[in-house]
Amino acid sequence: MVLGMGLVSGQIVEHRGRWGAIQGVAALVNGAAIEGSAYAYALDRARAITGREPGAAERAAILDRLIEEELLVQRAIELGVLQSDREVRKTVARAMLERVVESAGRYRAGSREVARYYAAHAARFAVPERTVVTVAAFRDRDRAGDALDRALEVKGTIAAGVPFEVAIRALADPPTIPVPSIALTERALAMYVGPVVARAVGKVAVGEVGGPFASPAGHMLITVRDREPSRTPALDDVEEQIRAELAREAADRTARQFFFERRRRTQVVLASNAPQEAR
Amino acid sequence: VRPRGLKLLALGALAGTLLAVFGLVHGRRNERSLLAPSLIATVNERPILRAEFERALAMFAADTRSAPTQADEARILQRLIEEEILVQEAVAAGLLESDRSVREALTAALLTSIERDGPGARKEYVASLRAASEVVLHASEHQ
Repeated sequence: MVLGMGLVSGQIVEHRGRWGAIQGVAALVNGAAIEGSAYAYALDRARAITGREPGAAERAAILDRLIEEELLVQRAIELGVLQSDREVRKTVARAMLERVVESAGRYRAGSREVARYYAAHAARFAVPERTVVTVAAFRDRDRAGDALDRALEVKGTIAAGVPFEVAIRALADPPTIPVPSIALTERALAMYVGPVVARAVGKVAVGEVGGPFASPAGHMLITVRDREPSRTPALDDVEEQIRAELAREAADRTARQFFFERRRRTQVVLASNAPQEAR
Repeated sequence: VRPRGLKLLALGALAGTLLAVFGLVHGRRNERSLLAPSLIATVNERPILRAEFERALAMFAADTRSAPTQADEARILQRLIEEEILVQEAVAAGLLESDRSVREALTAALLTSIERDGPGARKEYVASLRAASEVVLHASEHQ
């Protein structure tokens, strides 16, 4: 017969024969079981961290931590944390939704479905145009408006055949945030020069100089060094991405079905002035 | 009973039956009732506080930088109702006992408020919890 030992209100007492009926349980905390599997998992983690078998004192400490966790969980529930704490509620709801989706099994689309999806949504996978630019910034120095004058002067010099770098050397100011010399999408470029200028750069041909563009910091001349046109990747390149998207859509359908079924057998009472369509 | 009386009785019975059937069919749909002013809804009798709904509306307004429309308000309330359904389902499915992330969230929420009382507060709190609890260890693990 298996014997159990108990610790009641800090006192050790014996619970003879009790464990014979509770297989696979490491401890009971106010009647709630700490499963042997949870304890074994915690021991495995300790082994993985230390690289050796935990000694008796370590095993006791590990079980003690699980007991402490169980006590805290029970107390948190008792105090209504599940109802009052936003983060807890979000975590619980997310965990439940994950379980619902998992229970339906991970969806893996077949090749035909992937191909159909690609044909219908190819534009979604398009890699946007990217541009390499050099920016010259001009800020007012001696008087209001001289930034624009210098920018126009530089543009004229460039038009006369002077290279961009040479033309800007004396008259341009250091940019507020230097634009890196790599291919950037319009969205990325907008982080440096603002969305309006980034859009305008799209119309400047390679080798040409655009501007002067007005900005809150003054004016800018921008030369386009290189441009990689927008392209649509081949099906092979985005196959797994499409599968992930289809799996996500399947998970959404499972979640919607779950809510549809649950709502039918859930009693929801709305306040008389609640939004009308909360169904 | 006169024929006219019988007819009325039959009509009354039919109306009653129709009402009962309607009640059975629609009884589980959203009901509108005079809830306490502090509540915006109940889900299986569990309350959703109006303050919680208003907080969600304020968060939406802050995120979108615009006041929520009626449709937005309905969607936000629907999300709160769905969240409550998920929480109730999670409790029924035993996630509070079995799910690591849920247990960590519960203990973290409690410990955060305890530890506001100082670094020794957690130890003291756990000791008092232990003193008020029954903990039974498996013989092979008892030290």
